Amino acid sequence: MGINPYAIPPLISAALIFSAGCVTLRKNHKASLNRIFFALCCATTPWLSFYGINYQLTTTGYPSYLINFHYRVAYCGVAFISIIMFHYVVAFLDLKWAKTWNIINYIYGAIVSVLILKTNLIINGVYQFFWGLYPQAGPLHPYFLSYFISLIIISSIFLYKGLSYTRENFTKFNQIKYVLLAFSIFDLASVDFIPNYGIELYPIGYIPALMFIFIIAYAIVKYQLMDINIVIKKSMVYSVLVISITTIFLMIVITSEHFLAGLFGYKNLISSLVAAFLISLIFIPLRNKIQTLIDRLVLKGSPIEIAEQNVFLRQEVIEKEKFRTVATLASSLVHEIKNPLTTLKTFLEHFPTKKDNPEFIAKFEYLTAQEINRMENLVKRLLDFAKPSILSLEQVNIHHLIDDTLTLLHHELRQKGILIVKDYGTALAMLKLDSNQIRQALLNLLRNAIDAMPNGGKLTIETKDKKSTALEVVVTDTGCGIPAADLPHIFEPFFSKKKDGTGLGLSITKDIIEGHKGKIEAKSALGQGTQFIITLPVNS
Amino acid sequence: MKKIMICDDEEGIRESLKLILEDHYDILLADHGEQCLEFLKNDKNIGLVFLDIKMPKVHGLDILEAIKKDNPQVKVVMVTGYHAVDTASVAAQRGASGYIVKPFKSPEILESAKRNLGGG
Repeated sequence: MGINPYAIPPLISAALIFSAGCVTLRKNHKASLNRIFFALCCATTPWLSFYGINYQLTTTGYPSYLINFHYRVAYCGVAFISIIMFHYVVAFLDLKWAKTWNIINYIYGAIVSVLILKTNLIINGVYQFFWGLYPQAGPLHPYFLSYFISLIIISSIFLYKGLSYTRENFTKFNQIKYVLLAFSIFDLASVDFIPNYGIELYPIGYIPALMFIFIIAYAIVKYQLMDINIVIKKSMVYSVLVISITTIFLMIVITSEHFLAGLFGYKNLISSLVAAFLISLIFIPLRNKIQTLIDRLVLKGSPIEIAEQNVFLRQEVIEKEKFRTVATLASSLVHEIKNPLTTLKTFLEHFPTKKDNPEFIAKFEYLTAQEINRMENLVKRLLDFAKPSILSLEQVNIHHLIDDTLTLLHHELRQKGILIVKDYGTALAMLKLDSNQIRQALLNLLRNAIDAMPNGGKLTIETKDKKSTALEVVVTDTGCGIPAADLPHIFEPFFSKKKDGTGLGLSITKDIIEGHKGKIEAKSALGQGTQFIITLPVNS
Repeated sequence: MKKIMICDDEEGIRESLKLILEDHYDILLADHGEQCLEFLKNDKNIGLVFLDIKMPKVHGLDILEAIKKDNPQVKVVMVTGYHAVDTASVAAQRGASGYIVKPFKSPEILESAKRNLGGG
């Protein structure tokens, strides 16, 4: 008995889906979304793998009661697919009220699993189809199917609704968009239920399942869904693409071969070759088309999306570059400062013994003045560099600006397990600001907050009205806090208690805020956290 | 009194080293490498050179090599703002007798002069 070709595509799909689940979990096993996604992949794997194995076992002539048992095990996984999808959506959209439903669903899943394994109510034996043995629906199967589909529909509705309230958050909006698309396509895998009712239609559910993984991978790459900030190289995307396209190709060949055999009433090598030839005629240009499409979609995106992403990336790069340059500059200045410092030190050291020597005093006066000037110039140079450039004011929605800035730090915040609480309490959201500068100021404050909470915590960002003439932006962390003795100095340039800090972040922030005719103050309690209050005048 | 030459492009550093050493040694000042080599050619009493590493035109380590080539008996102590192991090891290979990092302390300079010239 040879290999059953129908067994190959589901097996390959199972391997790909399981690998995707493992990669996701490995990247961040602490994040609940990653765990749920892994669970979803785990529930999907038995379906595809056991189906593939069972088709092959049919060909091998394995006893049907054993195959029947395999199907029951696989079906237990299937029972949980929609439950886990629902769970994923609830966690993804953070729908607290729906959490009880998860418990009910999982209990239901457990009961259904027992029914699948121990009774004939859901699975009632197997059918013999041309591709192999296939599970037969029992009397309760329609109810099982209704629940399955209902959960999927509800999940999709949640996602659809989620789209409308995240329209302002570019990244989240796109994440939801792609999760919705991925889940909708995954729903198409439900075609695999049709043969359960005795209809001899080859189950191609693995195709939507594979597409599901592609779309999720795409969302991960482009919108950092589930925090896997990996860049999938072109070659990797292609290799997966080629595997799945080849799988589909193989399936089309086999199906048409089956069809041709049915048409001519015989099956031989020629009919297989004719089928393969005909399909490859269509297949190769099709594969090229798909590759171009993937190139455009996965690796580049639509022009508008590219533009939007570039703005974010550029901003991030500029910030990083600026800080790196300032840090490098500062460290080189530290070396330059060593020379005047050495001179001053030596002359002051000898002052008590040589103060009566007129030649010494002359040199002392001349050199100390010269060296102090030099040091002053060095510091000025650094400050000039770090100083924000000329303001370019425009009407900006401060809430959008805060959201954008948070997006830049999204990965770091998630990684450190920092909870973001946004409380936008002001109606005066539109302000005349230099958005780049205010973003830099916010970025500095938020980075400080992140640094203060290495083991996670809560970051609260509030906006408040201040007698309609000003607006307050309050950034509060639950981090280590600043010692009372240090608090008066934190806005001074070069004041830093961080191991690799430049001591310029808060000083630049203060300059920016004051440049907007605003003010900034800090309150802190050691071990409890720090609060920065920015006051910005309305339409200054 | 043995002579010490101080070669540094920075006036402040030259004057500081001179201030520390002038009560014990004869001091000669050079503000660049060529001048330093010229002084060494003309004055055979110079026993020690305090040489800055980072100088415009010719690098301190190259001057060190030139000094050692023509005047192997002259001791050279490198003065630098950087704590770099590789620079220190190159200096040692090229025959430097010491390596002092700025900002230095007066006793450190005196100790180095004493060690290389044997008292003042």
